Amino acid sequence: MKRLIILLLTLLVGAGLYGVYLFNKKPADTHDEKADFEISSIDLMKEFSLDEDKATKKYGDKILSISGKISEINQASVTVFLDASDPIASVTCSFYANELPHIQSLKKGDMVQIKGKCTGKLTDVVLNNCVLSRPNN
Amino acid sequence: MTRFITLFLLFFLTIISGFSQNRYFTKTGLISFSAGTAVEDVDAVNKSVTSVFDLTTGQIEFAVLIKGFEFKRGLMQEHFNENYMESEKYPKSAFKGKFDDVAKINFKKDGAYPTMVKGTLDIHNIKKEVSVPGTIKVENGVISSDATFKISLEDFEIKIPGAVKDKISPTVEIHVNCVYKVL
Repeated sequence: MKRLIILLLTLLVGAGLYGVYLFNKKPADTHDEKADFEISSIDLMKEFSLDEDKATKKYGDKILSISGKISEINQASVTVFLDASDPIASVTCSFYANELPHIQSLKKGDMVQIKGKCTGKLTDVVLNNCVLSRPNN
Repeated sequence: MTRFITLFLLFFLTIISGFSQNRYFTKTGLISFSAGTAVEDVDAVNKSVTSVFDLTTGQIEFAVLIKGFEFKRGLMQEHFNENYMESEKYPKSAFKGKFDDVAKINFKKDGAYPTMVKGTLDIHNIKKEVSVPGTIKVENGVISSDATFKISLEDFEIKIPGAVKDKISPTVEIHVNCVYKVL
């Protein structure tokens, strides 16, 4: 009987601790995640322009490893824009704030590979929580 | 005839250039909100807000992707997307509106200009007419918009289950901040 009570208490405490762990768990870190898709910024934009709903369902919340040419860098918001061969639309890559030093070494025209979570399309296709996977300039 | 065409083209170009100088945009605007209570803090931020602002007509638009809101806790972010905002079905939120008195703002002079903007707020696929106080700032020629306002979750048919009622406030404070560039 005593042993049963101890077992139950252990289980309860374990469940409670697991609950606390789940509650405080941070959102997934892109550094540790594997890319679901590898695609170029131009092809990604093409898919979204062709059928936005379909592309949003396919790529939304997925980790993308995207390659492309830098068209603009906005250091204040730690964001890199990739050319998507369109006059207005590009691919917005919003980096983690602490990735700023990595961005500062980049320049317009560089070819880069960026990993981030796709959140959909406004004017731009947007990737969030981005990290640099491979600068190959 | 050639002179006519040249004149016409000049006229046309003047219109285009005049037009484009008065349109401003950003793709890196900020929207954050707090929906917490004394029991729990529920804060999130989105750093990729798109906004277009026409200085001549006073028209202003904002658009934001729901999946781009970042929370401190993963589960909260999951519940926000799946249960409350249903971001699979309704991936965007938007505001389209107009400033009351854009003519009174001197965009060439540094300063903070308090103003009102009226328009349609679209959250969770529910559209509501709203009137929001905001500030237009001009700093070294750079134009920015700033607004803080409250919305009621009920107005936008966002349902909060009984179990978390004490943790999520029925009114949510939203903060918008955009720094613009010439389009």
